[in-house]
Amino acid sequence: MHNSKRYCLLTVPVFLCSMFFCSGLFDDSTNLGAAIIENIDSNRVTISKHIREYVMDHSAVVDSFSLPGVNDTGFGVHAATNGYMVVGRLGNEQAAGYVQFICPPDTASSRTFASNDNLRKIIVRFSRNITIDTNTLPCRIEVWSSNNRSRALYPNPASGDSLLDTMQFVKAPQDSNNTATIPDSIELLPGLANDIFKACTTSTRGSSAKIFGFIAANIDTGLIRLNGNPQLIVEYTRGSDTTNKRYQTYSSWYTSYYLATDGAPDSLRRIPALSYASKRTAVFQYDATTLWATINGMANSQHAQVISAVFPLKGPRDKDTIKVRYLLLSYLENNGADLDSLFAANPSLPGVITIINTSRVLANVHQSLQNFSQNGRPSALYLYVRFDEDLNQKWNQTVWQNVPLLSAMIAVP
Amino acid sequence: MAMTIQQNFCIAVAWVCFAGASLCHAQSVLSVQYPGGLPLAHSTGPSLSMGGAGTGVRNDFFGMADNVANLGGMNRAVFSAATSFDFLTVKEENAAATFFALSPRLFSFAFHISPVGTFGFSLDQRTSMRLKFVNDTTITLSDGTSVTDSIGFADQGGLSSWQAGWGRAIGRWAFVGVSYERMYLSSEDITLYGADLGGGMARYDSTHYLFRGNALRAGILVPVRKWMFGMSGEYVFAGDAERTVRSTMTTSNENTKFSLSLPPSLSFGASYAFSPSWMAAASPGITLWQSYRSPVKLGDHVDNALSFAAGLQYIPAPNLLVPRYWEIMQYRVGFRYGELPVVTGSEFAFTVGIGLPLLRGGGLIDCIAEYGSRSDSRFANHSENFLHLFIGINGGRKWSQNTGIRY
Repeated sequence: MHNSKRYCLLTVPVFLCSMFFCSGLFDDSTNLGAAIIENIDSNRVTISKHIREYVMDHSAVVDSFSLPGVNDTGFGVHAATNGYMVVGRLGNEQAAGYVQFICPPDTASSRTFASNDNLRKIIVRFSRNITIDTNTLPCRIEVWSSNNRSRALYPNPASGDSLLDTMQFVKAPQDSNNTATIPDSIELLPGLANDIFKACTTSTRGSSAKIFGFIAANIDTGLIRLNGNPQLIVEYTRGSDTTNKRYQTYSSWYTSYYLATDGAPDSLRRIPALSYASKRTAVFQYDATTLWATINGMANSQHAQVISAVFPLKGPRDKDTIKVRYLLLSYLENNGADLDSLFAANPSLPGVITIINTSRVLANVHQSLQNFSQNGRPSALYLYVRFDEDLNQKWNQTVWQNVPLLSAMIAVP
Repeated sequence: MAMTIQQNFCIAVAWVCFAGASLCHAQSVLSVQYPGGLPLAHSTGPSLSMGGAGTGVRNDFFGMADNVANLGGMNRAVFSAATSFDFLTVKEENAAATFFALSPRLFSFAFHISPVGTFGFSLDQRTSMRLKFVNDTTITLSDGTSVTDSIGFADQGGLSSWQAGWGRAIGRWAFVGVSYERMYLSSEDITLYGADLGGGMARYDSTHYLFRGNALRAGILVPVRKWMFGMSGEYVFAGDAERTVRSTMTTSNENTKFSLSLPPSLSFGASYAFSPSWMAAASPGITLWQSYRSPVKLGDHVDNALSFAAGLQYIPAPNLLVPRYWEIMQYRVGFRYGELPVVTGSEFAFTVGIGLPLLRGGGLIDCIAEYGSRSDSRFANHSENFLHLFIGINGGRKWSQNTGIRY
């Protein structure tokens, strides 16, 4: 007990001292003495002039326009792996789907036909549920047999595409939820069906895979969403048994796309238009000479660092939430495929932001701008803005009315 | 047993809190101007309580800090330690900030080997630099948006010295001593700039200096009747230094090696014993900053710095066989004035101290309060007032004694 009191006598004052020193009586830092710190070495520390603001005005905006899906590569191509293809027309945009089926090479043992198999018919089933904007009904879809393509194109007879059939969709009575259980497949003509069956039969097929492509295109106004995974279904019988039907299904899960294009009219090119379907990209061109002049006017400008830079993007619509991707470059990239690569290659440079209604969201570009500051300080800057995702599933199209203007903060030692 | 563990735990927690509270606060803004930081008084307790006027004083408990020749007069093993609780108020016009820091200053140990002399070892903090400056300003851009523009500046470092010395008496008319020093100077300056419009990144620049060098100290004490005259000098050899600059601007560090010459210093001192009870001491000195050489900018432009210290000691009844305790307590007052390394800066302080003898003169605990002010005439509206509460612990004991009796 005696020891206990002694410990308390020692501990309590130490605790009290600790509380005293931890209390708010003492400061952890100060903002006094700025002149002294600055006096040490104004090349190293400048308190009053260490950060300069730059706010762009409209005189720096050189141009605003949009880039269409040029070369039919990259632009407007949507993989159907997310479960649907869109086919049809909306405004000046139209979309066509491309489906590709692969018959495995001779070395494979599955999904092939024996020499005594007899073909009954082959059908292409685009989907089990087709979502149609009922306002557009009736509408018709053409199905074309197509040569092998790496990317979907519109049917072109000169390229060897041939029209197989036209599926016509009409408004069904039970179609209250815009979902129609209407014919969703098309039977191939006997000639093509025989070619496919022969190519996939063990005794006749070669050592390489056989590929069969089909294009679906809407010849009327309106959009049709073909849900599900397109399939090629072969119906056949084996040997002398002509009553038991057999089926072989080929999937196109990884080889179906739909492509949307707006035809690249000049009227669209001249305005900063964005489109989700055709991936039209709005471009804003700026004169950057005033920005670099601001930096050059600072002491130690060679050591200037852009610590913050934003383009305030204001949503162009009143009610919709949109998700856009942006990218700042020092040059105009006309090639759609290359621009796609730039957007996709370096996720740290472009950003993705969601804008709710007409709210103002800041697109952060300080890293890109700092790179330009250290590497040549280009006289022109190009801001690219495109839809990243169709959040509202409405095939968004818009024109960016408000030209975003750059604000930046630059720090020098 | 369980009680003991709890008690120990409480004490450990208390000391951790105490250390944390003590070491996390900033200090002098003026210190950032001087290479290595603010010069510190690095004497033992008895000397500190006389303003540091120990160059001309012969006393075991003054150690080798003020004059290495003091070793020559020792005939026993002696240790001294001193630490300071620093309170600092920085004022600028109507604004003020108050800081606290715990600053260990010195530890020394000496032992006598007859007839070779006395050997001493010490570790002391010569300069200190510790500052955290943060300034936030909200600015409105021309597009109407507001952004907080902030700068942070942190400085930390100092110069420490490890010393090994030897001293001995030359007859009855002088004491001499020499010592070798290994010096370490380290400082880290960090600047942080921030102004975030959205998703930005703060700018970070840091400069780290590191110096390792050698120095020699020598001193002499000459007794003349009731006087004691002393002189002490220190010469620091040029040494290798290194500067490393890091920044968010660059991915690689900029590393520069250079030669750094720290300034030599010289001090004189005299003390006079009026009686066994009264003793006065004074000590002028100079640090020759004009000899300082550095190819890279380290601090501001420096110039020679003069200093002066004086003190008075009173012991009511030092020689009574059976004194009351207060009659053998040591009462001291002191004053010191010193120019800072930048010629426009200076500081002065008054000290009062009390020495509490222990173990019949074998130990001494010093409790000292020093209050003073430092300023720089270039920054007339900036002043720093400080209160240092020193605790000094001293002890001495003869390991062996020649009785002089032959059988």
